[in-house]
Amino acid sequence: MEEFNGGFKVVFKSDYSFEEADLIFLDYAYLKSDDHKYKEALNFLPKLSLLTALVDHNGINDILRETKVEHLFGLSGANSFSDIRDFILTFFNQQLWTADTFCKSPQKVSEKLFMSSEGVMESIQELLAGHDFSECFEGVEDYLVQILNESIQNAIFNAPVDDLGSHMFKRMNKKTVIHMIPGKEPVAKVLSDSKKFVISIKDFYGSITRNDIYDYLPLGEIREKEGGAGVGMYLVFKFSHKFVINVVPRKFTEMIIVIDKDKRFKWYSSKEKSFHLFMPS
Amino acid sequence: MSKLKISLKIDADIRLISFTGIIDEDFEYQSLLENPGKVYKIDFNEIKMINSTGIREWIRFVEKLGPAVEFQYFNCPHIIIQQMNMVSGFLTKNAKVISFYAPYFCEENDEEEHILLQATDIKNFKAPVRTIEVDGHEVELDFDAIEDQYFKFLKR
Repeated sequence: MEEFNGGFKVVFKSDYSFEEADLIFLDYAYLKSDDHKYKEALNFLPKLSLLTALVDHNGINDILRETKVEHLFGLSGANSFSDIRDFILTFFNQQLWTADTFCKSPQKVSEKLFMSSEGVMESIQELLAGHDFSECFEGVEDYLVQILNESIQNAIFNAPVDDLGSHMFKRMNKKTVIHMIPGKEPVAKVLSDSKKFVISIKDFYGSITRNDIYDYLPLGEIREKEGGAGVGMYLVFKFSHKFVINVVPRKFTEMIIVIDKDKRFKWYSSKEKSFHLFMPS
Repeated sequence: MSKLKISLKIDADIRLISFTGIIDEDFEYQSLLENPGKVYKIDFNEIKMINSTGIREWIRFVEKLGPAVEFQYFNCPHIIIQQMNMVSGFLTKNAKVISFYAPYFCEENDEEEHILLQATDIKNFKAPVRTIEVDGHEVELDFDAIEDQYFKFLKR
């Protein structure tokens, strides 16, 4: 990567070296090929991004479970390449993607702070009120409700840790009414423009780990355990087109979910998905 | 106010249960375990959402009644079908979907239609042809999902 007119120029070398590269973009198909040199790329997380044209959701989940890659781009034409350009700039400017990154001129923004586990569904209805669903297939609002429900429950019950890093509410039954510590209440934000919805859920603990993410996010199996069912994050990922997790340990975790507005369910469900984890090593 | 209303009718060994609202962590199924029947006909028509803990509670409910009990699911909305397809174990071995809603699209009037299908309507995992009347003439609807994905729950 070289600086070029205030931006960056990608340099492709035929005689490549993963060590020397600032960023690595690799087609997932190469990892599955017989050529073992590409498998070395997996030693270079997080500067490795995998690209895939797979549209099958299970396929995407399998890639994440298998590789634990932090950046996975589902390729779907021009949009994907603009995403990759934004990603390169973000990476080199050492910034985090925010909800505003994906919705620069929102038509509607709503925000809620969650002081307790009570009244979550009512707050979700308030968050979605006034957003325009007219150019979407009918079920999309249900998906947004479910994404918000799962993410907010996660922020309330799974994120809070004490000074020693022990989870405070994770094993509690989700029926329990718990109150957030003042100043550490999770915040949910919904932005929308004519093309998409963007949801941000932020907690102020930054307690999620890589193991949590790769253990639960790609695998949709109910686990018999107290507290959550183990598929909340998986469902959020399934319903989204783009799923970004920003983690600054002991400070915050922000989950950003992007869903494109599609008039038809078929278009929504055939779009490729992307996943990004920004977390210090 | 409860997020879920449950209605139970008993007809010999058959239990007819309909739900209205949201199935989540507050799903109280104890009353449904009393006086068990052999066949449970569940009407999901008025279900608005089932979240992850709701799915787990649902599986617990089904398991408590035991594997000999037969579950038949009727009028499953799109959101339930989606989650049956996504979450492994949601559709238990002793349960089958009898009828469900499927998305279709009318290109003539640019509107979606949710058509109630019987599971037996699906042959070789292909969506059946459905038509509606628009301005006095019959219009064939376009199935508005990816058949392999949407009918995955029938592949067991």
